[in-house]
Amino acid sequence: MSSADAPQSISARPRVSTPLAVVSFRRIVSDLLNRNWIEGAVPFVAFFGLLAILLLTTDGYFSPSNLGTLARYSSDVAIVLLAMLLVVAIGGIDLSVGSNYAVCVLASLYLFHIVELPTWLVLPLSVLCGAAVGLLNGFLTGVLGCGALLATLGTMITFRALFVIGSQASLVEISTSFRGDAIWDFFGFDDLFGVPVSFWILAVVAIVLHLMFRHSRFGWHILAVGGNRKAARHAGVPIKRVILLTYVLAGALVGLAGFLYAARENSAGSDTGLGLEFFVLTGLVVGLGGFVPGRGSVFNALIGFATIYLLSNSLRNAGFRGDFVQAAMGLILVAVLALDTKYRKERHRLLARAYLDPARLTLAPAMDLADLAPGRGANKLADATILAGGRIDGPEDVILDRDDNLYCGTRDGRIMRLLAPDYTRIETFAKTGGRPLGMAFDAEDRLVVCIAGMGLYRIPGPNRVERLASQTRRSWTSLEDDRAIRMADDLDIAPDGRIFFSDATKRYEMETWAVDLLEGRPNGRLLCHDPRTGATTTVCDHLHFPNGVCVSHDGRRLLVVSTAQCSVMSFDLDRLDEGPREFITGLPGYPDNINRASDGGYWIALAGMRSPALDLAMREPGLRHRMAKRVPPTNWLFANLNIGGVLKCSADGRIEDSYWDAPDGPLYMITSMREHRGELFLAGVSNDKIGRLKLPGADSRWTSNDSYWPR
Amino acid sequence: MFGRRAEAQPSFPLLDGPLRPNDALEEAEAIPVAEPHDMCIAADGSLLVSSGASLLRMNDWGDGGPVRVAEFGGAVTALACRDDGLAAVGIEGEGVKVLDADFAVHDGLYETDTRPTGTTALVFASNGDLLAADAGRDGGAYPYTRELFADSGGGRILRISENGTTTTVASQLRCPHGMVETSAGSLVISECWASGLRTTGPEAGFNELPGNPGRIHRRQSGGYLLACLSRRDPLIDFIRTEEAFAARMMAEIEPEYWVAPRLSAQADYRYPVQSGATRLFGETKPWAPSLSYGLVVLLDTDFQPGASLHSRANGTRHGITTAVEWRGGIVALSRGSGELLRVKGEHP
Repeated sequence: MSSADAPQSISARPRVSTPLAVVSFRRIVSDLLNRNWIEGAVPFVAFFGLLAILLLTTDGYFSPSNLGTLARYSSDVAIVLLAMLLVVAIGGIDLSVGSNYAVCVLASLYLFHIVELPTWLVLPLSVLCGAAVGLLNGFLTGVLGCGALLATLGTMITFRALFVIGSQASLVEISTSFRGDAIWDFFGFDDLFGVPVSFWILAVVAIVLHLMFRHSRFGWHILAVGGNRKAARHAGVPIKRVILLTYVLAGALVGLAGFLYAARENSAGSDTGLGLEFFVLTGLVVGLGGFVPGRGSVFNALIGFATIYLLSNSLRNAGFRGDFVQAAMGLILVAVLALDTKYRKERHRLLARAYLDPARLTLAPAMDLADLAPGRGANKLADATILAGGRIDGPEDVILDRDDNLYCGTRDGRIMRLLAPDYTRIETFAKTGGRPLGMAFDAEDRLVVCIAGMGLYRIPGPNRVERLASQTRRSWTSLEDDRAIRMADDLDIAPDGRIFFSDATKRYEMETWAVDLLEGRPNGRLLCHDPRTGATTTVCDHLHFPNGVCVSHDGRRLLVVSTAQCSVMSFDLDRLDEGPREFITGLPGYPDNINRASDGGYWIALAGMRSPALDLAMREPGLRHRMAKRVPPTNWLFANLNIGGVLKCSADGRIEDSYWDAPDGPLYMITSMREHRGELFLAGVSNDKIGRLKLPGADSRWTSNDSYWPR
Repeated sequence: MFGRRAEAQPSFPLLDGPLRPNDALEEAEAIPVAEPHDMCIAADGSLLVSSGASLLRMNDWGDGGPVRVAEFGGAVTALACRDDGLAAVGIEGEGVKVLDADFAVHDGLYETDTRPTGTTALVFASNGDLLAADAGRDGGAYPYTRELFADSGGGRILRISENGTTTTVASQLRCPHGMVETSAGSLVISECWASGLRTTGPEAGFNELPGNPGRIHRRQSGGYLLACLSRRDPLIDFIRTEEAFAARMMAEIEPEYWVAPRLSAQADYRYPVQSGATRLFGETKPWAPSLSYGLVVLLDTDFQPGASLHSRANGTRHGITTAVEWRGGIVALSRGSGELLRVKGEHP
């Protein structure tokens, strides 16, 4: 390893192989379970399965004429289904859709055939009629707060009775009317570009509702109220008004559907709209995969409707009795609801079982530290003075500015400033809202911070927090959307201003990072943010818990620590595509941050130590998987984080010195250290203090700030 | 798809109720003793303590510390005293020796051809026979941990009469580490790696212990004192079910670094650690999981626990091998800290 011409020898070292993709059955399952569209996928599969069966068993079912007929006869029912979707989305139910529908049919027929109003007046009046019923429903449920089920059951019976009375009085007269009208027939019988007009209307309604749910304030309010009424009220959503308006809108849609039916059929029977509420509910439940308030998936609902409609239609065509079809529909409704309830209950369990996905990880044998091992020589860190004891919670990194003030992050998301020269005055420099980890100063002496859970941020002055990056490009090999920077860990800044930072794991959080270590998979990545363009790119994906990042003294290489592999990698800044090369392998512990030392070498913080038993367990993924299932997390075999320290390595990666505290000493888990004017400042992520150690023989004028950005 | 399989380990009693943790052992008075293994109360009321290959004697607690009275060719691993002043010692590699009242080796008594491989406990029965617990494997520096993962089937209790006639009272034991004769005359044996007590009589055994029991001694009140070498641990219990991994661990890793119970709280940086044991702000949590623990269980006449003395994860007085009642207090031997401990006061 030792060579006079260090940089050249480093660029000739063995490559570290990084996989192009992580392929694992368990991961695919867990990623699929994690996707929101997976629930919507089930109705799609059912729909296309049904299509395939129909295609194979029925001749001419998909002929244009039959499709046209199906579209014509189903459109108005589908609109009623969308009306039901609206009230279900808001957390209610509307049993009166069938009665409302019948009343609107009757109203349309009466206005057209008996009052002989023009069609362009009949249509809005029918919509108004439906809206009026919706208003009553909305008033009962939204304003008075009656239960939706009973309130709409009441209106259902009432309007059904009114419909019967009205139809007995006028149906004979309607059926004897011979009034015809081009516009009326346009809605009832005409095609537009080969597709029935009513289907076009359905398409417009669907698109408008979809846009409403996705992009309008009202749509969001509906979903918010349906998702969690109490939370929506706390968020300032006018609950009563939203519910009222939703029922009115749903009623209006039913009115529109009733008009379409009237125009098509020109008559009504005593069974018009009878059982309609049950039919559309079945379609909705199949499409949404359950009875789920707070979801406005228009297209899923329509797919469910199409499935149910085609199924009942084809069963009737096949000669089954209507009662049998009804029974089949009922069974489907019950089965979907039962499966959905079970799935919702067990999904997190399935996910938890599949999420942790250990892989074999063979570490290079731990180097023999000989006299540099803990407990062998003097406990040099025992000489350190303790700063801020008990006054800061969890400093992961420390950094000093040109005026010698000291900065560190804390567990509650603050960046603290300890004022020079004695560091007893501590003030909050900024509140970030995340978990600040690695820090660096840029060329203009602005603090740049990696914040776990948020991304890369810049703090140019007290209480000014600017986001630099929270996303990178999505990798094409991952099923999971991995754009978000999940655990930005440490950064460093190249001479040209590019900021290189590590995203330690894409699959776990700050609280569960230990599980990532146990998983032993390359879940992390190295990212680059270029402040000149504002772009954030992935430099190298699939690294094993990349952690500390340090630009070499000559500014030509980038040293990146892999905590899980107990190694340090080196990237050539001019040839990043080449990927990493080995810099140090077989460290005796789990390295965290790496920083420049005044003598041209580097400081490496060891957060914990390796144990032969864990090294062996890392080669046995099955063992770790079973352990995760059977042993309580607190008893998992894990890295020894009770002993840590600092290693000093030369410019070419030779370990030259080590610093340890006494076994029960206060500086036990070192996650970072910073050399500044002949002293070493030490931080630990689970500690509540900062160590300050005089370095005998070190350059007492050297600062990291001047080393990076000479003045 | 949604089925729930019972994958959890068989549970063992929590440290709660009478076993609720306290700091009694941590706060006890202590006298340092190097490499202690066992102790017993001699006929004259003094306390005999083994220390490595030596035998120490102490007349009373504040008596200026124990005095060496004998020296042997190997570590003394077990001790028993007879009412008439005779003492039996188990010596590593040499078997059982009998000492007279002046601690000189007394040949011709209890001499047997069936030599125990690893004597873990000696007891004089009421009829004068000598009972010897044999772990079936030599102790060495890491006593019997190999036996934890690979059962040799050699654990047994021998009954040796004065003239040397030897019978096997019980065999196929998982590292027997202590025994006591009940008033009914049956024998109760503590099986260290089975975490339970086994009896040769009709008494109900106390089978689920939260620790790995060591020696058991009778109290004046009629109950018993059970010393526990370590605490049961879910991780170790799990590794014991992983036979392939355990075999690989034993083949590839030095015994010192195995995932196994320990007697001492002292830690090398290469020792395995459980995730919950990570220090916070530099402090070891007392409730943290640990591979070593100090525990003495006070059992009633039916061998049910009534009270307990603890040294927790943040303590050092771990690996309690023996506890006896002596001169108005409970005296316990901590192999972990190399100390003789005395807990004064009334105990239920």
